[in-house]
Amino acid sequence: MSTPSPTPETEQTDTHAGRAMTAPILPGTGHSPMAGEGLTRVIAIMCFLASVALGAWMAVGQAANNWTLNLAQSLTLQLKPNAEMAADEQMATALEILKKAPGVVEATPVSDTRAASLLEPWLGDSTIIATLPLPKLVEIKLASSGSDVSALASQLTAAIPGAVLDDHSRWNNRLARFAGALRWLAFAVLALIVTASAMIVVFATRADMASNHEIIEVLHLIGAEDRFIAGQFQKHFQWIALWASLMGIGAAAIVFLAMGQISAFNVDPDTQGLLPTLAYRPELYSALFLIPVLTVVTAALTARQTVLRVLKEVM
Amino acid sequence: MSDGFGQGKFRSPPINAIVKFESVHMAYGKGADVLRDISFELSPGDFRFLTGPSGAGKTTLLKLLYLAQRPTQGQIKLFGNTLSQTPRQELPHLRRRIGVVFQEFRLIDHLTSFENVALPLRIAGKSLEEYRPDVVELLTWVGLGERIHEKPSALSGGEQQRVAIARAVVAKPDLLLADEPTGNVDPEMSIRLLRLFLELNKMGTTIVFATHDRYLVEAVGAPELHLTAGELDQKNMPPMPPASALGLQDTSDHPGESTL
Repeated sequence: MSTPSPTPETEQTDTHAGRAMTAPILPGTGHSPMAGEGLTRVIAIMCFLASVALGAWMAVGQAANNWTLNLAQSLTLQLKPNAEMAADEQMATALEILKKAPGVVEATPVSDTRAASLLEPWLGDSTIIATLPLPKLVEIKLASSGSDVSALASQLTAAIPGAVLDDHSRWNNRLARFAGALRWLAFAVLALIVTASAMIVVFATRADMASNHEIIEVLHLIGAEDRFIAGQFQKHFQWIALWASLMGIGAAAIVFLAMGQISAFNVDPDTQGLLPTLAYRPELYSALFLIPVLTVVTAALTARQTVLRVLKEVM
Repeated sequence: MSDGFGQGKFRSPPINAIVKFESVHMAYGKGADVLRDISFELSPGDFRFLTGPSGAGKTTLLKLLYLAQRPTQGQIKLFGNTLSQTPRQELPHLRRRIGVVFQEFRLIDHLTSFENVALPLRIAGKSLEEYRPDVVELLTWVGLGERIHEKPSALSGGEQQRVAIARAVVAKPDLLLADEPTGNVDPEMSIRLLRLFLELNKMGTTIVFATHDRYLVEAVGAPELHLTAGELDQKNMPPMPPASALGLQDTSDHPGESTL
């Protein structure tokens, strides 16, 4: 603008100039998403890691629940080949009992071909398996309540020679312990990463502040009040932290969605329940938004405290 | 021009002293005294050159005046406030009545000339609409009308200095402190800037002007605060200059007059 004093003709350009003339006192505040580039990167990366840790914690928890829940609500009845009762009769009696048993939702005989395919990895070619005297299997699904597994087991063994009811408790107990340990481990990792991230945000903010020492001093000497200066810095770092943390969790969300796409191709019925499909769980995304909130608060408080401490040391 | 630089007030009993130093000593850390037993007073409208060899304590004296340092001993009164008894939260209001031209300018690098100059007004809570005309006019007057959107890195040393001067005077301070404010500009501009200082002085601003430039000191003929090795000896009455030689009296037609 070359005209020193505003005249009616310059009114139009004034609007533009007006915007340019109220630049933030600190470099890059708010207007540029790439303000304080080093700090932005550090915060974005730490937020990404925290998001992944959060996702992992939730995934492990969910997977552990799936495993134990699936096992606890399912039973397997084995009908071993037996001289006293023919295989067909064994099966018919078993299905009859199961149909009347309280709490049983579904009882499905496992076909010979499926049984063979389950054994194939261990025994090889299914033509060999077909010649073996294999036990017949019945998969039983239970309702979440109302079943009495031990009563059912004694009823079945009394009525059918060679019947063995497997309630998976051996596996279930071990899995439950393992899942519990995994959950704690994932939580510990999450806690460590969140703590480390917060500390890094604090250190990075302070380091970035050091380069602004001259600005603090000049503002102070020309009569700015402490809370004005602290407010400027707080605003500045809030914006950086907000942008950076949104970038971090955005990147993490993309990774989660991509993983969801990959596991959607996994149609193998035997492993499907093992891998958690986190990608579309709303609670993950609402939890992710806690990360920017925490980051912004941490950065803002650090900036404010640092300015006030610096200013306390001068007259 | 009998009273242009406050010589009359210099001798009159300073009832409303703007600045009063009483036996002020100043040392950094555990070092020796940089200033020793400094006592003087300034009244509204006084103009003082602060002279003395390098290392005599000029910058330290200015630091005490612009409230960057507290004295190790003695008392300073500023605008009637005894500094040792003034609560810290009151100091910003005193600082806003003081304009400072720092020796190293201390402009904020990423702000334009306009924004740097506007800073004291912004801090005082004025809106852009209020201060824009004044800031633009002042920058034009110091010859930077074409450069108001330039950042300090794009300006020469002399231009940066003029921005620094404009920032110091923009809020029309009661006390203006300048550390070698004409050190980086050509003689013509230094006279122009001096005229700006004198103009402010006429309107009642008290000025302390640290300089090595004997030519300026003698041309203006204002009293000196002369420091030698941390001690003050006031050279009261240097010879009056031929004012017409500098054209200092002729201030009726410069464009800055309406705001300054």
